[in-house]
Amino acid sequence: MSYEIIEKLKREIADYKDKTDWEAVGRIIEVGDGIVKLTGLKQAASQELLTIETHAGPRRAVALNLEEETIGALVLDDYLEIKSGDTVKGTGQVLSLQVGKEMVGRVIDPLGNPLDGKGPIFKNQEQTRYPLENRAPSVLEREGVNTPLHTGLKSIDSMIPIGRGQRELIIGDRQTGKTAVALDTIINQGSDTGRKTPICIYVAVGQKEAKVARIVETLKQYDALKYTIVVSASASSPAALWYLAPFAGCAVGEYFRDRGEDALVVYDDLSKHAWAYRQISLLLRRPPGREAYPGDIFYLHSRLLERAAKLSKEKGGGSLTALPLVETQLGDITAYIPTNIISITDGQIYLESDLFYQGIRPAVNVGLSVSRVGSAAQTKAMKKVAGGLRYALAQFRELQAFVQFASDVDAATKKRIRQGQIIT
Amino acid sequence: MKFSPRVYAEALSAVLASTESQVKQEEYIRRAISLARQNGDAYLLPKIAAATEKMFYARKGINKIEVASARPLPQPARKLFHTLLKPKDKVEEQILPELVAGVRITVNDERELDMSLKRKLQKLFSATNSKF
Repeated sequence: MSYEIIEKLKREIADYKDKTDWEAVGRIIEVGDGIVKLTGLKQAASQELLTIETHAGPRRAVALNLEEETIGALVLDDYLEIKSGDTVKGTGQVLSLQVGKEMVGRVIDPLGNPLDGKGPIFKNQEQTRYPLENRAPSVLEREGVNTPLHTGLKSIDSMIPIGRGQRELIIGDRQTGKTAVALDTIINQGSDTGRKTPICIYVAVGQKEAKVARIVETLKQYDALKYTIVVSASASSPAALWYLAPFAGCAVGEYFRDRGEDALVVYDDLSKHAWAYRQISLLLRRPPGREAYPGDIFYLHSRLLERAAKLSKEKGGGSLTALPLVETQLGDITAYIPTNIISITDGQIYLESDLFYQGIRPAVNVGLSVSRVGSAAQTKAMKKVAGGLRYALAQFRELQAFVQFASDVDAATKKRIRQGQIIT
Repeated sequence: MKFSPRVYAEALSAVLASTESQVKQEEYIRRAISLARQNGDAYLLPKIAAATEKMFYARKGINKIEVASARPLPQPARKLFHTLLKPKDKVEEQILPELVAGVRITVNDERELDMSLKRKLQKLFSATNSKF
């Protein structure tokens, strides 16, 4: 075996051909926490992958700020070895990720490296690479949402239905069951025998390693890992990976969508993603706006979520459904990031602490939850059974507070309350 | 009013280029440093210096050429190299043992011709690693 390797190496060295040419280079002038500033490389493109030559080997970076004299770049590897004066070279490529069917059942980082200790993901030489930043499908390439994506949770499937290709936000305070709803949705995809099981991608942004490990264990336990990919940028990862993780998850989902398959991507969660982007932007000295977020925070999330789509038959009919999660503080859904994402998505599932502690799970507040396009994808049977249910339950929640003080209510109200109690 | 390093560098490089006297140039540099200190911009001095050098060379049509090699260049090679340059080009020689062999030439910190063995080995092994 070693003889074969040596012979192969000998051949490689003998066949090696090299052509030296003039290259454009830059010089590092400033190193910050995960970011660098450099001069030179005047032809560098936005989002171009750069290579920094340090004494400890090459380090990758992405050009984010193209200024008059300098370039601000985000370091993807260990930035502690980078020194002022190091040489930087452009690669002419934007950041991309190798994708393929082999990824299913694996845990990866946002750059596509395996994290589960099961060895390399891809064994063959053929490479399909998808850029992390990609153009969203145009109007002509899309069609209306028409196939349901059953979460397996009766309250959601009946009152706030989700269709394949939809973007449905799951929003709520901490410890209200947001991840549980997303995880149940992934697990229940295996039981939806009526339709093809979508490939599920769970993107963990800034989650504890222990939580990610627990999620992977749960998926394994319910035999859901066989159609799931986990993209993890854990709490100990640099902000650069937190920022890239949702884009990496989306790129993987797009690969399956473009092959005519269905994919579901869960972004857990976009609040932490916004924090990471805020940190990077402030370090790059971009002007801060509301809550110190940069001005393009809305565009960051809209261009990510716009890539979720149901493609037309001509384009293969694949779909990419997005379930972004957002954490609110003390139920305040009027904060900057929640309102942004509410306006981008096709509806939201609002989970409430009060309902959660009353033992109602999932703790869905039906008054504040909505699905703007999902009803078109609801099955006829479900529509017939669930018609009016949402309004009845919303009315019951209003009356419930009233009935605690007054027992003398008319027959219609009594009936409504009785009905609501049964539903709950 | 706050000035950016570029503004300082533009002004300083212009006055430096206006005279050939080294004494005057040194005086201008001293004044620029004290002005930056007065404005509370002393922390910008390294950036100002780098930008001034670049702009000064650009104004004078001088190329800054860095030649890095693993060992000192032999005299005939150095002579040959200098014949390829303009007389006013500024050449800096560096000894970088990590290059193993060969030379690396950088012009104005913007263009580079890397003919070192280090780069060839890196290229060879990155190509080989992807095949194994």
